[in-house]
Amino acid sequence: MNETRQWAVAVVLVLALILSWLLLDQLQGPNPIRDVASYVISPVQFVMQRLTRPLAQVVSTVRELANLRAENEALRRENAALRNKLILLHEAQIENEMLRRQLHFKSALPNMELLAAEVIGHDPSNLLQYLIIDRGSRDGLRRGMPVLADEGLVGRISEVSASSAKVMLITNPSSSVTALIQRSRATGIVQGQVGAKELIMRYIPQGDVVEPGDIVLTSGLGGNFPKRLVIGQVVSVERKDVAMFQEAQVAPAVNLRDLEVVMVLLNFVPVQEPQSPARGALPAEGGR
Amino acid sequence: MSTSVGLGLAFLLAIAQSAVISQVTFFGLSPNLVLLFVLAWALLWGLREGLVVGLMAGFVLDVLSGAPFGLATAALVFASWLAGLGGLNVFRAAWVLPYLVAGLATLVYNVLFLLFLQLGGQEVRWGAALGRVVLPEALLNMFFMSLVYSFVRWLQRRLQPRPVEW
Repeated sequence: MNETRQWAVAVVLVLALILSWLLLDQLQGPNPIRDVASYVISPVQFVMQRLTRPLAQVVSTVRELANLRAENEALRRENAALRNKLILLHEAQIENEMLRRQLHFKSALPNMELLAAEVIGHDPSNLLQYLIIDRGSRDGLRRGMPVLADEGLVGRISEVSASSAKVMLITNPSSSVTALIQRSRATGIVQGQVGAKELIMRYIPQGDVVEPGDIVLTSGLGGNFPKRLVIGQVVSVERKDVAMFQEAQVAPAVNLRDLEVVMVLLNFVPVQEPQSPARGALPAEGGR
Repeated sequence: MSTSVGLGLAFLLAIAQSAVISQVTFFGLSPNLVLLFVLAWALLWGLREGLVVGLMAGFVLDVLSGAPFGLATAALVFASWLAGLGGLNVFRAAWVLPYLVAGLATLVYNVLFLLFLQLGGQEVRWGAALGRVVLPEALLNMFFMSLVYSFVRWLQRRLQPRPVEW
């Protein structure tokens, strides 16, 4: 009986306590009981939360593993698609830049009828320097037509088929272009050399001034190339007192190794077609 | 079967030499993988097979080259004939044979090339050509021969019919 009374008192007290809390809370004023309880509980809550967070994450990861795999796969696919788009965008940007330069080049040379062609191959031999382009006689190409890039002279058409053509580069040992030094107007002949990236300008009269850094242009003499196309820049000069002429090493203006697109000058009729190496030729402008 | 595989590979490799391999340079020179393939084929399959494959590869190279037509074919056929002879003699088993053949054939191939050009009326500066291109290319080709030779030998093992054991 005593025990039953004690329980009844306890229940009434608890109910009274709860009721008082509810009343205190309804008064909109400070709730000292909650404040004190918070003061005690908060640090514990913080530590516990910190300690259990990784565990919770592991549990959550395990639970979502199946989903994660699918999500990862989807993200991978999306990433690959985005990367492809980025590459294409970058390629378009490069192409855009190239076309811009060509347009600028074309507008700078309004009298020239230029046809853009893509480089599709190189000469398989290390001894010769030729390019293969994707334009041929169907597009109006003829032997001897000069080939340019936006930086300067590339070479000339040496062989034409219906849908492709071979371009003899100015660095080919058989190539020969009449040239002049822009600053001093000294003339000479620019030729290719076996196995060398640089060109050699021969037959420069001894009295003429040539210095490293001078720009070398086509002179137009001989009628096989138009005048004033940039060939390159003088790198070094060799003068011998006993020789009749000076010689200069010339770095081509165009990076011939990495060419992707070139332009063929369609409305220029060369005086002399380049000689096929098989037929042989005297050292003259075009092909030797 | 082996001849048609050799012809097909020679065809593809010759195109790749112009379109791709010529752009891959070491000290300004690209390895002549077509020549090496023809040499390896001649060493492993014999003179006749080497000549047939050399003919095909040379033809494609001629189409793609600015050199007089037939020059690459002639030089390749001659080089494959040399290699075929090398494969027949007593040094056949020597491990250095492919490398020696690669070096020697590169010299022969390029010297023939230059000779033909000179006969065609072109000015050839022999010193520059040998020093800057021919000798360095011979070394480069000797280096690459191990790759090409291993590939052709692997191909031979796959293509050759195995003897039936009773």
